[in-house]
Amino acid sequence: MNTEIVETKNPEVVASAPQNSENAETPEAEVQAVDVVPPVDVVDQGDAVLLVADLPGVPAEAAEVTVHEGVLALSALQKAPPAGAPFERKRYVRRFAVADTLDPDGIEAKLQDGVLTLRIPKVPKAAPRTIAVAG
Amino acid sequence: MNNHLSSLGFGELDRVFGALAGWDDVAGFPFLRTTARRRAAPAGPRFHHVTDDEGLTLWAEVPGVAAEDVRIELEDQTLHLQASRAVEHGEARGQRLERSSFSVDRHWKLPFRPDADGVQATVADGVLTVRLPKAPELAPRTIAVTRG
Repeated sequence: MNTEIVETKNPEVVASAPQNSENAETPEAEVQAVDVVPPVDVVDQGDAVLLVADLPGVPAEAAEVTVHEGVLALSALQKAPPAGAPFERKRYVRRFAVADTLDPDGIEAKLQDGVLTLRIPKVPKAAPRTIAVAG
Repeated sequence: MNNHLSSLGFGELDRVFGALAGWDDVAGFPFLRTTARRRAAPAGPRFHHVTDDEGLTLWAEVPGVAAEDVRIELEDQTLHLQASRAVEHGEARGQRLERSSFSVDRHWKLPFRPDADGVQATVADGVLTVRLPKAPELAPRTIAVTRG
């Protein structure tokens, strides 16, 4: 199957991925939250692959996407629920293996109305070249 | 996502039961939960609510729903809420499609008469919050006692 983004089965691999939570007020690991796997769409647009995830309750600054050694890790913490709310705070976590036909450096991310959209461009295919052979 | 039963060898059985019946619980065997459906998006948003002395607050996660996609009506003591979203990818080829469109059209009979002018509804980051205060005459009031 021609899938360029495949969910990884080994979460340990990414546990050591660099964390960009230095500017967070509380270290993310200390926040009380339930880990949840968000529903995700992956679609091929031709020149790029879109990864769309439902992350309700997550403000843009609380979504973190890292790509490390071919693994795309998504971690997004919901805003704290209001006092007395009958539901728990969630942390959306999911990891994908990214094929090397995609360019992780060109990823564009947008979070709107609780929906994260990642656009991952494909590496342009090298055009066939004619090599001049010297006689 | 694997549950602990999978490691005990129930995984296959679990999948078969889930695929055959699409049940969340197999009758009489509540421990046989499907693994396949757990990750799938629910048919529609789940609503939570809390009542307090002054009224009621209603919440729902509605990713992809903007304020203009929500319609709320109050008729007497009944709240009517409509919200929807459409998941579309146009011509693009889906490799994995887990998110679903939904359409909510629900009525709730409130346990009190609401103050129609005081109702507040917001959608922020895909979370809908509706605050319904009680009609003023129902809310607890402090009565000033004057010296006779």
